[in-house]
Amino acid sequence: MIETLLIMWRESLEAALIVGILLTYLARSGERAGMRYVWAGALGAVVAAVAMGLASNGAAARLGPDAQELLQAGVLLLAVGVLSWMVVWMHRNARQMGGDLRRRADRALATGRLVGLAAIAFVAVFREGVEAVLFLWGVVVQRADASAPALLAAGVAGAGLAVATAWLFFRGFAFLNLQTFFRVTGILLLLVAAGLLTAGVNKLIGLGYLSPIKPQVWNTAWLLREDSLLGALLGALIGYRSRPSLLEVLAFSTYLPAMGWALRRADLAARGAAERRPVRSAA
Amino acid sequence: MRPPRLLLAALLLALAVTVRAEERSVALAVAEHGFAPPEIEAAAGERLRLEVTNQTAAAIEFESFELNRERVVPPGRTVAVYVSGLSPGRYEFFDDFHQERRGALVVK
Repeated sequence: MIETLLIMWRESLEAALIVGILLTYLARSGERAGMRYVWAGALGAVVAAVAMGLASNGAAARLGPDAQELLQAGVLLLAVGVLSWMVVWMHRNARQMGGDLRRRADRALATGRLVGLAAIAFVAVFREGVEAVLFLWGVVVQRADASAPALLAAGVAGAGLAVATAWLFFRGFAFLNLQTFFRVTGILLLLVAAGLLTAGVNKLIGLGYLSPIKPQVWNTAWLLREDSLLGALLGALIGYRSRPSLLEVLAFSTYLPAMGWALRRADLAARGAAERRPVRSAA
Repeated sequence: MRPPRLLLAALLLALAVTVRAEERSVALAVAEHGFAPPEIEAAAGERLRLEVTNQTAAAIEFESFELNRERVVPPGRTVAVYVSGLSPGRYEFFDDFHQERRGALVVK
């Protein structure tokens, strides 16, 4: 019972944290419309994951498991692209915070951005959701007796616990002032994206499409194990692994400076635009 | 956005190494009682294609912190898990959904 709960907690944590960070960010920017899209993406993914999970349990599944894994890797890399683009515009958005109401209305989110938000929430929930459904279905199959409903309930409670964990985690952010909050969530989102990129690369290595170059660069298991509470949290949030391969380390550590460069460029563009305006506004 | 060149170079190198490497397939079954065989042997540096077959009625998750791999396998299906370039040592793996099922890859 406890094991079922713990497994579901771990399987759902990443999705809960990613959806949580998006909702927290949007709530504090006063972007209610964006929050609706995030919820829509997340709930749509739950439905899709249940459908897909049940379908791939049957022998009639169209895609082989390796093709599904490749698809997942592709979706992950796509999510990194969308997330990176979101971080750049969020950054630009944050620079304009504190303006008057008209300006706030001006920067109401465009449809493309809203769809981007929904897409990230969808990917995060769908990815974990399929695995969670497969796991829970297995629990039901294995215990085709009276204990199955109780175990199923434990599994659902585990997912609920993951949502609670994410909620508690981001509640801590409420004490930050607005500027610090946007800086911290911005950095966190970049780390999340770097973690997703690393996860995509890890899948391609596991599928044999890429070489790890060196399978284990270092081993930090003595410091932080993946199956500890903090290890699981960091694993879900930024893709922590105790024994990463060289290619994964390179992916993670190349992504961050590349994004730093993109954000700086966005800053310079914003400053240029502000200087061309007749009345310069305080940032 | 300018492509991160270091990553691009590394990806190309990784792809090149992969294309050239020869592989050996090893069958690894997951039954109710655990992995069969429970231990696999390999030579250092060898490229292995683990063919993990789930013979049980429930989904399993092949996972290894040592090998840095995790894959969910639906019941009755087989997945390929590649590992390569390992140094001598013992690399444990387990079924994350049923943690009493454990096995190891021993590299010599």
